Amino acid sequence: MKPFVISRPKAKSKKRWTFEGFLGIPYQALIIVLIMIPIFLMLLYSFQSRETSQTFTLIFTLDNYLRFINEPIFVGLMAESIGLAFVATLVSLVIGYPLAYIISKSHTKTKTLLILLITAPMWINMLLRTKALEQVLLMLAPDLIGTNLAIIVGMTYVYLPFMVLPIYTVLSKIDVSLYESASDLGANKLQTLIKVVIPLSISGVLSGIMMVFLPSATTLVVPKYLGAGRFLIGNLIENAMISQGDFGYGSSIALLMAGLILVFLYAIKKVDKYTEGGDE
Amino acid sequence: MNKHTLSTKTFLFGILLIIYLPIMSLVIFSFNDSKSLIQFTGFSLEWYVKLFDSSTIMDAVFTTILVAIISTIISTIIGTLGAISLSKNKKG
Repeated sequence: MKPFVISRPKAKSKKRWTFEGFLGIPYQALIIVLIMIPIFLMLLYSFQSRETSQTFTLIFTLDNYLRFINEPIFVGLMAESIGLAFVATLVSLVIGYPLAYIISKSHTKTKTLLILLITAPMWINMLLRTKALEQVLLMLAPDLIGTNLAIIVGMTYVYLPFMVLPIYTVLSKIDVSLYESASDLGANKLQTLIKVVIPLSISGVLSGIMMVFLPSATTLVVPKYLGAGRFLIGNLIENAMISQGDFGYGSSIALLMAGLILVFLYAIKKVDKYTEGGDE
Repeated sequence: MNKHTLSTKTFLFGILLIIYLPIMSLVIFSFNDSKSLIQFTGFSLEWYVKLFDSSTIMDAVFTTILVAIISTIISTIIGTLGAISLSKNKKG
């Protein structure tokens, strides 16, 4: 037993103390201080009873989590946020994939210009862009503000670049000779697209979906302006944390979202692994 | 490989138009002489004069740029080192 127990950590630590391991230390320190500790504090907050929130004594309670079940408004908001984000992600994919495909097929100069044009809006503050979209909608179709459609349009508008970029990156890496050999082997353009291009770009599509779905589901700004002050899950967290100072409830919602996202990521990784294994 | 048909050109143009319409409206209404964001009442540089006159805003701009530059440098260095170590560890 003894040598077995000792030898294992030794083997591990030998691997750790390489030069590359040292390079990663600041990065890992940053992750611990700025991500792990805050998440741990949120976990503590979420189990903290409200009465003692002023002091450092910890009174364990499940109240914050029970509110998910007890308050029907929460379940409704959650379903609404996820539903809207899902549709927005789908729309972004339908628009973003062809866009990325067209860009990847352009001349080098046009490519650079188009990528610049797609990413440039991200340099403008998101709040300002949403407000600007609200103004345009107010001018063109004032009845739309406050509807689900307006929120979906807003999410798609704000997060579309996050769909285009990862897909474009993967598509531009596909070897040109693959297209040629596909047509040599008798595949027409549609068959090439379905059997060669799309399977090879699945990883880009999946990261695009994540990059659009996750922020869409928790966006604060879009429902505030395009939803005419409607509440989605992000606004609920903001309201609990900032307006009411209810850190426990806010933290528990955020952790629940994080849990759902983890499940989502895990599912995506499964699909991703399957496709990666396929082309190796 | 590089010839775009009319339909793809229309698609590209349409998407870019939608993306830039709100931004164009921001630009246009920044020259408006009233506070309205819906009705254009006349051309003026009032808001730009106000912007460059306000020491608070200009200070904020410089602070923003400074903070952005420093944080970009730091995160590039730490991120690159972290990425190198992560990619090497994975192989080992």
